[in-house]
Amino acid sequence: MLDSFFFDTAAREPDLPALWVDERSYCYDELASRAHRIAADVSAALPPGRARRCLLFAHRSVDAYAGLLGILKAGCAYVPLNPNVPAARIAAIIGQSGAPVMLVDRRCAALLAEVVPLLDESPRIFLLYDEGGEAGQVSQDSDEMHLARTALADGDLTRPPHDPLVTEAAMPRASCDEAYILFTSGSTGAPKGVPLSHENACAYVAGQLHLIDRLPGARYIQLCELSFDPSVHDMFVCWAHGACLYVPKTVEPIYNAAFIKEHAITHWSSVPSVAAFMQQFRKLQPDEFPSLRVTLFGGEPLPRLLVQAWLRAAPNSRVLNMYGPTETTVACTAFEVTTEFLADSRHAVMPLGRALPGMELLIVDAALEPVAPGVGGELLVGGPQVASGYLSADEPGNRRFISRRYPGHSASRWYRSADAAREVAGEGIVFQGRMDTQIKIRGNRIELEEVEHVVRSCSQAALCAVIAWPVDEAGRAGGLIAFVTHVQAGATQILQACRQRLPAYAVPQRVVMLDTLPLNVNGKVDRRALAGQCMTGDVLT
Amino acid sequence: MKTHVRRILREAACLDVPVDTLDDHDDLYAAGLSSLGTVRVMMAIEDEFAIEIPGAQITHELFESIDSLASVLAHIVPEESSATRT
Repeated sequence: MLDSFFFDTAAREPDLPALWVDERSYCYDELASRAHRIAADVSAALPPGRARRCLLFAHRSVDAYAGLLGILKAGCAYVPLNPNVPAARIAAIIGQSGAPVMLVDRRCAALLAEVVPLLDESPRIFLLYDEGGEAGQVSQDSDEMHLARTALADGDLTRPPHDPLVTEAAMPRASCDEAYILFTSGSTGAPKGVPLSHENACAYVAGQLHLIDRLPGARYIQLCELSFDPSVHDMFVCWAHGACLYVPKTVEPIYNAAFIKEHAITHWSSVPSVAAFMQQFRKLQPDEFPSLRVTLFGGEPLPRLLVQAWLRAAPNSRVLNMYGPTETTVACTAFEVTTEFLADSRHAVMPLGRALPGMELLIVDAALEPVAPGVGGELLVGGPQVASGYLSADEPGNRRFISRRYPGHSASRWYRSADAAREVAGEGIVFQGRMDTQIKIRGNRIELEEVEHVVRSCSQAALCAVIAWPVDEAGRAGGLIAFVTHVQAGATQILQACRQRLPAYAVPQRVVMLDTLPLNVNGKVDRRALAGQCMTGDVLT
Repeated sequence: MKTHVRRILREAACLDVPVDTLDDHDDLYAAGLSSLGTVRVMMAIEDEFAIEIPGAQITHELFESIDSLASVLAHIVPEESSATRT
């Protein structure tokens, strides 16, 4: 079970520091005690016959981590909600999650008044206490909730039925049970839920424990929100190794540089864009981060020059480039950067490397037949980390999960990544672009169709196309531009509507009104032609 | 200096709210200042005053408010450079 990576260490090394957050550290035993109390509360609150899922609506605090571990310990899947996205998106995720219970911290409780009215059916909502880790019920009804929130201000909350005898032992668990559900951008216009099982997550963590050695006194940083899957790596690889997870108050790159130094962070993982920002802020000075031993990059192309700058600042660190869609659990490939590889200026970006332990990769053509060595095609990912499918059985993306046997491979289920790739001797898999319209902005996954859906619905545009712009030499997108024709709303109104429905990184930087859009031979909007027009400056003046 | 800072923020920061609605001590990160916005503000300041902000001075606190930007810049920017633009 995923949580065993934490609780086993807690049983073995109760006094070691496990978590540093909000200016103090918590030892394994203390975090485990808080998690056990929450697990008992979640078990007691869970309505019989409903999905064993629990939403976690919290900023990254000790309560959030104890809540996450407690939810798992109660035999439920945790469904993290990012507090920094618009209420409409949070409500859409709550609605789709099918979770009957939600844990909320004090800061997020203030946001509930915006979220709850948007729900068809509200989950039972419990407040994570600041002290003691015990939950108190807010309420499932928006009117009652308002009263409860008023009461909350006086510190006068009723506690849920608390039965300390309800423990995880009462409930048999299986490795195919869901461990967590994450939501990513969906091309139909609504966020898309991906449930990952304990088997998926444990396979990933076990593989990482082979890749990354145990280092006594190690300090892992957690830069991403709990709603993104690299957080699973940071937490559980850290705790499996008996290390301490350090959570900065903000993920802002300038602050992150000072934080690495102040806390002598040893393990760092994030997207290349964060390192690029640190470089722009002149934080990658020679030998700036001597404490770093392991650096993991992932989520977007990793330029060679950036790795060189990083290694000058962190000369004692290994650097690994990781790749993997959420559907295959955090990462399924890794490339360990070597000095020799870096010295070769023909390598503009780092390759994706080879399959992680237990995973299999295969490059196939449009008929799903393996291509000859070195030929480009679609990357298939097989192995125990591959999810069973999307949360919604109606999700068209479910056809990406295929059952098929290939000679020489043991996997029988594969995920079609829609990433174009080829294999290169000495490098492993090399990324060659997307085969659909999914893009990444600073590591955040965006389906352009989802943004188009929002732009179209708020503007009544006759035609609408959203493209990534600008895109640098490494293929990294800096932002989005929306092109529309015959709209019934102004650019400001359209952008405002986007801000209310999309995460900040998916909001176009500008809206360009045109009389017509270029169409391809099939009569569809030709995004490539639009990008070409951006390049020549024709449409952006 | 605060007038300069406000103009630069208006042009470069891409905040969620109009700069005019902010007090000098309001938290710019809370007003939507992103990493990208911070880089743009930094570059705009360096262009505007023809300076390079020393690496050690580029901190989270520097970009926290109009006050913090103005007070740090007052020490870095040569007087005549600021005066000619007032």
